[in-house]
Amino acid sequence: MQAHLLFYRVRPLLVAILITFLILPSLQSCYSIRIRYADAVAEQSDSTSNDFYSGKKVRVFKKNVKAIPAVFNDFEIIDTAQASTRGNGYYSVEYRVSLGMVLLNIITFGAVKKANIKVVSIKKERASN
Amino acid sequence: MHTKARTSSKLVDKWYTFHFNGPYPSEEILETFHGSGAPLLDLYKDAASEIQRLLQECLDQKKGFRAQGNIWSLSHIAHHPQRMQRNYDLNIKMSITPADMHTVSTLDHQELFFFECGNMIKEITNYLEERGMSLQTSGASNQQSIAGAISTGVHGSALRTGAIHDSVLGLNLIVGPRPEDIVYIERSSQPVLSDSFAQKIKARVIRDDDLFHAALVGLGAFGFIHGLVIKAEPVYLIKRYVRNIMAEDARALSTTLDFSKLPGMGLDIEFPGDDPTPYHYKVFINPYKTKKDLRKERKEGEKYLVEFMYKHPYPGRGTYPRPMKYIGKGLHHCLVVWFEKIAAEYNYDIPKLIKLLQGELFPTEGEDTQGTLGEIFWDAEYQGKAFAISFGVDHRDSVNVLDLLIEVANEKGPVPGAFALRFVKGSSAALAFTKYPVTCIVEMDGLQWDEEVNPKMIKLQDFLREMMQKLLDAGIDFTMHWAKNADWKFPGLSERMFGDKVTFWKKQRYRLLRPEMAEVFSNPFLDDTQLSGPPVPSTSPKDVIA
Repeated sequence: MQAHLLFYRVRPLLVAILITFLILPSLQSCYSIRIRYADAVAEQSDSTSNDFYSGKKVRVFKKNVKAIPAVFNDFEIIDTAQASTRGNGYYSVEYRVSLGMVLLNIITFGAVKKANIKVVSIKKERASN
Repeated sequence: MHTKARTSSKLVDKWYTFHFNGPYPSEEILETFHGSGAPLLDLYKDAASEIQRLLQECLDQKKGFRAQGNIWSLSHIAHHPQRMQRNYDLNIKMSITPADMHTVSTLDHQELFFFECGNMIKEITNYLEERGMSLQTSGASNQQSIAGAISTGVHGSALRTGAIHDSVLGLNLIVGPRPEDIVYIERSSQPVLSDSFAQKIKARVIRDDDLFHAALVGLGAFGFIHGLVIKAEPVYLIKRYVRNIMAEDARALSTTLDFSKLPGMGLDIEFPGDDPTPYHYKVFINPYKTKKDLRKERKEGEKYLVEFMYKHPYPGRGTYPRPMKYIGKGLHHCLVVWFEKIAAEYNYDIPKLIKLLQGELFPTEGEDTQGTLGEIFWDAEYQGKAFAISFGVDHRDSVNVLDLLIEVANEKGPVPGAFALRFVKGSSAALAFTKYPVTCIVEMDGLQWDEEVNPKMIKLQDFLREMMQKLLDAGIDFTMHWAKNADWKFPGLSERMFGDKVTFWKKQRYRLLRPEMAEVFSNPFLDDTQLSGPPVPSTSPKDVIA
């Protein structure tokens, strides 16, 4: 069999492998999740934008994915029935995984997995009883 | 360790409102923060000293000063070309004790609260709900600062309650840098707090009905509002119904406010008692009709989408489904949210958007929702460019005004916006735009359009003027919401809206403020509306300047 014919015969297989190991995981993993605490008031800033973060003080950082559960644990703590809006915890947490981060994860065989985290804190409250 | 209040400074060259009205030229934005490590009362007094330091600087450097609130206004009322001040961190909340009450007051101290200027409405509703209390009303959203909300006349649609400022019983103003420039003002006819409370915040007490009624909707011109006393009420549950009803019924309800026939209309509403008058009544109207719409109307009759809200006893958290997820979907909570979704779909192509608007009325009736005031009037989802126009008219004129403005929208537009009617009990504040016994707010909310990209469309400023002129030509008395878009340079607008009350308001202002401080607290908005100068002729009543 000529070499180029062999290539055409195996090409669908290559495509399938590519889809399976590169594109599908990428598509599945390129996402963001934002959780908002309905009763809280966001820490404010003078920034204005067209999105959810307009007027809110946002902190953005990249984290190794191992650190992320700690962030969500904190959020879960403030989202319980005992939660208060007295200036502790987060108003919103957004977890975003980009295509680059997914590729990095694939290239390093899972050794490196990062995510962008966007956090808005709760506005500090000052109240008497 | 006790740290003092401080102010940071940022140099800027332009400034926008939250919904991108502008830009307006500006020099500097100040941001004041509380200190820490001290009791709330000490932090409060310390912040007052910091504000006075800023005012002294303005006097020394001949600069103007304006607290910008939460920049929620769409007009330029919060703007100053020199110094604007952010005070969102000044958010102390205090309950009132029996010892704080004036001896002649018959009010229940448990219903009174003292809030610092930078508290957002949402913070206040949260704080009150934790204590089993609620504001009596709020605007359609909860993002405004309390000081900004009352000084611009933010309202809901509580036709027997009034606007937010109508539940304010006392004002703590800082009118200059001297010790005697911190004042606490309340009505002489309704003393609420004791002199000893005022002394605790180092304020000089002024009990004066005229001054209080002028300063209540003070447009930022009566000094820096540092704190205020609000009368709350026990927390209540609001049941909200959105229904399509015959237009003639909605129009009759609007002009008569007679809801006695409502129970017989088969609307499946749970009335809380014998009186079917709602706590809140609102009508939504799409001004643009296609031939298809007209054919449908001929067949079925014209219908309006209306919103009724009723107060019920509060059953406690967890006993009802919270409404936020429905509100978040824009169930007519905020018209601009709906427009934004459609606009995004059509890549902000305004002509296509208008075409779509012409072919489509508001969404059909939604799910009924219930919640506390804070839950129903929750976070506004829309963060982008918007315009909003609000006329205040006597409710008996509401339908006439609506028809005239729809005419303008169709003749001079179309523009990407829709109308709503809301109803608010009249206010005693001198320049409250809710001045009628029951004011109907005829409002048009929508998306700002790019005038360069859409040169065939009317300019917003021209559209505003056309609307105002239409009502003037028809001889209809009206006011305009101070925090919304309008042609604020319209000749003699303030006098046309408020007549002698303009002179009254100016007189009260110059009773309270020294002329140099009146200048510090003036801004281009007050210049445009011809409210910044002293009253003419200068026959001021006895002043209260210390």
